Amino acid sequence: MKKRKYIALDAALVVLTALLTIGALTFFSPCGIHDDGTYGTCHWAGAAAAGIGAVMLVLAVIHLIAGSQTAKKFVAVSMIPSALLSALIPGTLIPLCMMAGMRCNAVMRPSVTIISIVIIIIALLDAVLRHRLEKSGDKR
Amino acid sequence: MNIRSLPIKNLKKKPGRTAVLLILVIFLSFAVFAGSVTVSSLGNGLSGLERRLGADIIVVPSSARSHVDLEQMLLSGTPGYFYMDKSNLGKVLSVEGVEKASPQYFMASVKAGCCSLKTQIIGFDPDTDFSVTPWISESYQSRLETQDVVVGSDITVPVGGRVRFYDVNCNVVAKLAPTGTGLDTAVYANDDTVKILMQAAADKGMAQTEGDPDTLISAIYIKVADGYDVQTVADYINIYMKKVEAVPARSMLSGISDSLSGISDTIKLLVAAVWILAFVIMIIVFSGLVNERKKEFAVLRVVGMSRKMLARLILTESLILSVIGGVIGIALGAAVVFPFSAAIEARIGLPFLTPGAGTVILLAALSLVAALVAGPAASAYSAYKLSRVDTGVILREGM
Repeated sequence: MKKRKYIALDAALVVLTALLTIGALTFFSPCGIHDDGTYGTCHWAGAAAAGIGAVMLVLAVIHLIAGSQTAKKFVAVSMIPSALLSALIPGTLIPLCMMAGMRCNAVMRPSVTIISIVIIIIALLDAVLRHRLEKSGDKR
Repeated sequence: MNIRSLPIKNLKKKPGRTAVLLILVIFLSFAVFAGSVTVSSLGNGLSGLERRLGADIIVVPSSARSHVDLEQMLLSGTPGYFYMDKSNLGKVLSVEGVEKASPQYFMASVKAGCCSLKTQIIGFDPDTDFSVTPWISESYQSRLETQDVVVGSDITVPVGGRVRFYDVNCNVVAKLAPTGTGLDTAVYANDDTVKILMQAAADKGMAQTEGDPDTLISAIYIKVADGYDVQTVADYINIYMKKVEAVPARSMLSGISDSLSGISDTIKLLVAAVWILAFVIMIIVFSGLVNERKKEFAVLRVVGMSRKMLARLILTESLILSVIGGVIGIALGAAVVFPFSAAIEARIGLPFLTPGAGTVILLAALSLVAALVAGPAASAYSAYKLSRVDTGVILREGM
């Protein structure tokens, strides 16, 4: 059986996208329901981040099971703008609460941003390494 | 064979061993950097709070403590309010030793349809104020007009934006520099604006006082004249003025100072413990490698490497690991402490103000030095032992 190349990158992308999806809904979810019974916009920012995370999770699974280096490379490249979008969702594209100390600003925003940036770095690294493998003729 | 590339080839050849040592260095530099930035942030928070208070004594109604946690409200910006008669200001000004006295007005907004955020609104008299104006003048030089507000750094509304309190729109004209305390969530306005808001709250059935806003104040901030003892002036007010309490600012800060000192000492202890623990584990790992690498070094001796070159090889390997691990550890520390500083402040409930770029660079450099010292120092004994391997004995044993 041939050894898979860069399996750590495959696994890292699956783990990080799963973390983004689950985390945005649970352990770094935005602020809860307000005293007056309404949701703030941060609630929808969390939902959007989780949604983009879910899409990236599907891409990461495709990346994991894809056979060719070319397919893996293009899936990795497609994850970069998605991760950039998720990094921009909280606070830039969708406004959060007005207090920096509130959960959406203090916990959700940095968590989503950091995870997204790490996804971008890993996807970029993965694409570069797969491209080099392709050029060197190793198609495993 | 290129001897210069040998340390890197050795590290690549044993990815498991390299990963273990790298993780140890990452852990060590992460702890040193994150710990030192945290301790520095706590110290910054306290000095920021001292500077922001700007008063020696704060006079509040004697009933204030029964309504609110005074320290929490004045030092942490927890929304709350209390009122006393404005005539107390004249009485305070007549006390010997009082150089300056200025009233402040406190109001709490609610998070509801009428208000865009729940916060403490602090009104001050621009003609007499000496505690808020110096801070505001750093960001806004003009005089605050009615319905203009200056917001703390933790309020994310941009300058030029609007906040709504009790259905009254207020213009955000400036944002204050951060203090690392709850005061960063407060909103500052002149006394006229606060009176308008008090009236608006009353009109909506959310009055915070029964009295006439024109005859009420919440607190009096006092600057004690040079040559007078703060405690003596405060004691005098407490004895001779009815229904008020004079609190020296230092006494309010002492509780926070004690907590900060306790937390800082604990963090320093933990950082030292982590550094020593990681250092000891690294010594053990390097020592464990002596036996494993004896043959490799015997062969290198046979091909002509001197003892000094062998020792240098081991030290170079550990130095490479220290540099890579140190940089990754510092980057991880920065990724945890800076983006999550608001969450850390909320969790520990103490002033927390991350240091400036200069201090951060210095702390990063010191953390890198700590990692650079730990790696080679931990491998020094192993380098000495391996450089003195008896080539003949080792190779005979292996045959």
